[in-house]
Amino acid sequence: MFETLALNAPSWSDLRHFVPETVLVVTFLLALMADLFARGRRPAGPFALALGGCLVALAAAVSSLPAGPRSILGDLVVVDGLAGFFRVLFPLIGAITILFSWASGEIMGPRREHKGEFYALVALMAFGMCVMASAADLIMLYLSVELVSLTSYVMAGYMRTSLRSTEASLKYVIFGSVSSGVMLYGLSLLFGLTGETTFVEIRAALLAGRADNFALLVAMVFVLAGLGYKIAAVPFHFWCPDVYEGAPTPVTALFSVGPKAAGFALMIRFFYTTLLSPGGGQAAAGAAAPDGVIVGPADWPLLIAILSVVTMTYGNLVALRQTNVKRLLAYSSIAHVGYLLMGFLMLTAAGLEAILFYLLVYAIMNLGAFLFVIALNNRLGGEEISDYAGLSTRAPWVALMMMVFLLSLTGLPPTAGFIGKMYLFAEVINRHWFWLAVVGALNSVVSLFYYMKIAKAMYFTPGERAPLRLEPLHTAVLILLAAPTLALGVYWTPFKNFVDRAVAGFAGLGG
Amino acid sequence: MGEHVLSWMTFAPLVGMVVIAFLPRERPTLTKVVAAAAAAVPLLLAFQVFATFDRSTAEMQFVERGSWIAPFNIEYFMGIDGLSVTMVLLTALLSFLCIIASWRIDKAVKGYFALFLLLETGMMGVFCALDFFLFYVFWEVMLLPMYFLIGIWGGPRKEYAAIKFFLYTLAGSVLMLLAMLAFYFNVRNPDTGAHTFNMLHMMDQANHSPWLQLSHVRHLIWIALFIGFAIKVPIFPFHTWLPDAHVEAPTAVSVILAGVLLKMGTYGILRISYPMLPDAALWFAYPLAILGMINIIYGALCAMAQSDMKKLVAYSSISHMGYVLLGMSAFTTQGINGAVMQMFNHGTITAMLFLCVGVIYDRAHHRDIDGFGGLGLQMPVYTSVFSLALFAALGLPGLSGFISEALVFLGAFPTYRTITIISALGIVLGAAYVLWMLQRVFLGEKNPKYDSLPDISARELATLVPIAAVVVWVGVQPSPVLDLMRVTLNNLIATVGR
Amino acid sequence: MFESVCFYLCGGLMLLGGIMTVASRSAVASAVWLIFAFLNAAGVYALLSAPFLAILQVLVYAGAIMVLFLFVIMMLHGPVMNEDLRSRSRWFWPALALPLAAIAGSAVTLLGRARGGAFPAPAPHGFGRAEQVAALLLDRYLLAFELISIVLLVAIIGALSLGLREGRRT
Repeated sequence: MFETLALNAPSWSDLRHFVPETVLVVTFLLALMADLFARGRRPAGPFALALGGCLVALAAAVSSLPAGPRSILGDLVVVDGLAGFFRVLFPLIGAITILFSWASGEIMGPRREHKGEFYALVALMAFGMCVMASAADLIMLYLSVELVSLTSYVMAGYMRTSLRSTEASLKYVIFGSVSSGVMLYGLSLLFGLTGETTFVEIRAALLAGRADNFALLVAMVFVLAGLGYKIAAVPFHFWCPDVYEGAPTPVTALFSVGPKAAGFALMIRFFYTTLLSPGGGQAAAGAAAPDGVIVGPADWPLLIAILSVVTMTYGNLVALRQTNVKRLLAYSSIAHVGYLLMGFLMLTAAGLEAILFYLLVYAIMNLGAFLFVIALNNRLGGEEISDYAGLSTRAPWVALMMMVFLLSLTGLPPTAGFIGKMYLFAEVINRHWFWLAVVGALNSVVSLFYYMKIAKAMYFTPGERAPLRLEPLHTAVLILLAAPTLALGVYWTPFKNFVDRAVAGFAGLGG
Repeated sequence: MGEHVLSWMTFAPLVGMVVIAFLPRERPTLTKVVAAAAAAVPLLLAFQVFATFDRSTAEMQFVERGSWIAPFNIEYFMGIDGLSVTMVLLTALLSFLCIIASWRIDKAVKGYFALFLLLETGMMGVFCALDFFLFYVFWEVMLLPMYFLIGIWGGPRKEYAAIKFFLYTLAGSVLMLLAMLAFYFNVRNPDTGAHTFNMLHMMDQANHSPWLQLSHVRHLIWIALFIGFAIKVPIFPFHTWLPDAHVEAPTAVSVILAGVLLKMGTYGILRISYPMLPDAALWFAYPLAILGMINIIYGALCAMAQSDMKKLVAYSSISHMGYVLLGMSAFTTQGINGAVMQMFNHGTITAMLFLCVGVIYDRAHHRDIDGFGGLGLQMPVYTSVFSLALFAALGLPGLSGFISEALVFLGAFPTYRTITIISALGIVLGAAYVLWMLQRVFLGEKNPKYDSLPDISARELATLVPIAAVVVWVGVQPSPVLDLMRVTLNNLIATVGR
Repeated sequence: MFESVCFYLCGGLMLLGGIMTVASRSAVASAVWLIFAFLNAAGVYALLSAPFLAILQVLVYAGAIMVLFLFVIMMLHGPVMNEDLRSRSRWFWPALALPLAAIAGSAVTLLGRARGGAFPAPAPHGFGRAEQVAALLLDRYLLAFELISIVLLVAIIGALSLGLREGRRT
């Protein structure tokens, strides 16, 4: 055992492939220390440090897109196309969050000291999510999930004088610990079954037929419960609406895209590495075959299909009744997880490409929608749909940009959301999951109704007429997000190529 | 401009929309002028298209083609043939006239005209697109401006009508999206071997994969497409959005809705379902004929029961679209020519009807049929124009509606005797509701409340006269329009039909 | 045989300790039950040929951390739990029983199936001794080890951030 350990021991040179992560964690520490010296109403030091750190990490990630898989640091993490993609996404999400928090009354308001902590935590969360995306070992899986969860708890309770915020945090902690306990149990079963902790070794053990299929199914369901909690799939979603509503809106914005994407990254990595082996699988007549053969319980894609349908339908139906925009967006984000799961169960490279493309688009448009909520909360002090009455006359361009985000979330052309959804549906159709495609398509019709409730308030309902001016920073970031939402709906080839490259360099899918 | 006629026709309104977005809010007249100018470009080009269109070929003309999204084999592929050229002409004409008819809009002027131009881009695009993906994008782009045009500038129940319209049509189009994707993965470009969205490749049965040749698969895809198009037409039982949307929409929007948007449903069936799935089309022909009959009779009966003029016209649209369905389900040359002719004629006639209803509504602020009486003396010019439109709608010989309805019945009779005979009752019912309304509004006792109603204005007349001219001209001399479409449609019937 | 009996005994007692920790109405009692659970966990570790882990469990968890817990509870000494928390919702027992039943059910089924097969996989030679733990932690699992330090740092920040009372502005 000692001999085998020595072979892949971590070395300093491994850090060359771990630059974005290193930058982010150093940023976290520096920003935390800078907070001690921060003076004045707004902590400029930590803000600048965290923003700069995220941007440097982003630049480092873009400049060092990994060509193929490389297992580093004692095989605990693997840097491959998938990790490379998320390394770009997470610092980007972090940077945007930091940017719009700077002018948000909830974060920078007078009711909190040590505000710089927030920026440090965002950087740390980006780090944790990057690690989630590259974890290749059960221990790293668990630790990275815990790191992101703990950071989330602290951020959810950031406004500790607000009862809602504290309650959100407490709920998050309790649901979070239960689900991570369940997941840990599943992981321990998996270790017990195979005696291995790295994903690749686990698959080898499973292929060797060492594990009982039923035991494997049980372990898988428990792990799925833990990851399902992170992505807020039904029935592991209970925390989601309350936490989204209670947490400060910039934090909600981050939660709705970051940990979800990271959860998907980890799910893809874990399931596609341990439970798929190379080669073409079985396919229905006329349908294209999956890119991997299922190891272990053969029907787990069906299980996920059911999960997907339940998730999107539940999210959409409950969203119909919401009047609070944050809650509405929370349920809508649950529905989007359902769409994403459709891509996940295809077990194909094209399905993965669709997921990654959708995650990218979803990050942009959902951040945009939440930023709109933040920007208006700063001015109107509320986030009920009725607060937006008459907005089209008060701030026409802002209303128009929100309209773009809403259309994109619904999935109407010519917006990025349509393209993302189309790629998902295309793969579902290509694999002949017709019932799933029809349910998914009808679900997007349902979603139209509640997104248009916001549009209706902005455009149809008369309200105050006095012009509304937003924080210039908020307007700038809104434009920054609305432009790609529209542009990607018209021309998206470069982004598609970027995503395709990431999937081509993915270590999983049995490769 | 000569090379890119269709692109100019499609995107000139979009350019106008962008310009309008940056105009100052305080100058509404400038906005209107820009909108009219942007809509005039397609109209002028439409004359050019009409003059230079080659009537002797079924090939696509004015073709423009270029790669758009290479990884997904999406092309920018535009072109028109005899089927789409009539619709393109109709769209250009009605859009421009509607902008003129909207001159008195005073609420959020910029938004109204910007959305109207966006709508025109969507409509033009749908009729010109030959790439299925491009078609779908244009198809969806139309929904949003329509939603806002009804929801902001509409009548009392506008919000309900707007969202109902949006939900219904989106439900149909997502099914179309799935059918489109199923096609994409099972059709190969014969030149490159790659999957393709090219409609012309999809029409060639030799490019279909073995799976796509299974009959149950074809029937399912046909149904998915059909629901998408049926909601747009609208075909019973998917029609319930239409009365709400038409009644609540402002006049010009009703015109576009009835004049152009409804045609997209039948256009889609003829452009996509028929040539791509000819065997499924034959399999579904009989149900389609029955649905057409139901539309005719049901629409006419509902129209008779209405007391609101606009609602009456709306239900008469359902009835008239039934003739289109009946004609195209017969798979005879007269039937299909009559169907497409009826699409064109219904577009012009209903546009006139809605414009006329709008004229009286602007003056009296209600549309109750029984609330008027003896208007014939009060507003003689108006009465004659409205009567012309109404007579055209009931199919009076010498006006355009007669030609197409006669062709439809001639074409359908050999195929479906009983259905055709029952449908012919629709003519009688049509005469009944039209004449009854005519009598109640324009004849009889004069209502003293409306003693001071001014007659139709010059601007309103200017929107009506060009359409009336077309109605009369086509009624007397149908060959210019028939010639445009005949070769293409005969070719379609030859490839699809029995 | 004797080993098996000890294992199930320790396991059962640990479970009991866990349940009582949650079910106790007084914070002090909860803490003491938690110590009880930790000690039994240490017993399980010892029986699973991980002596070093067992000792650490006693030293760190049952010893240091729990003493700290008790100190905090004593120092707060007022009403440790308010009445809302004291009165249990009627969902308390179902909520506790359901996951336990799920886990127990799956465990029993697994054990039944494991009899003939190679489950669980055998422990490697020299497993669980101090030097091996050290080697693993500081060699192969170095990254995980460092990550834990960050996790702890966040936990401290969280405790401070959530625990600080309002009104103390510096």
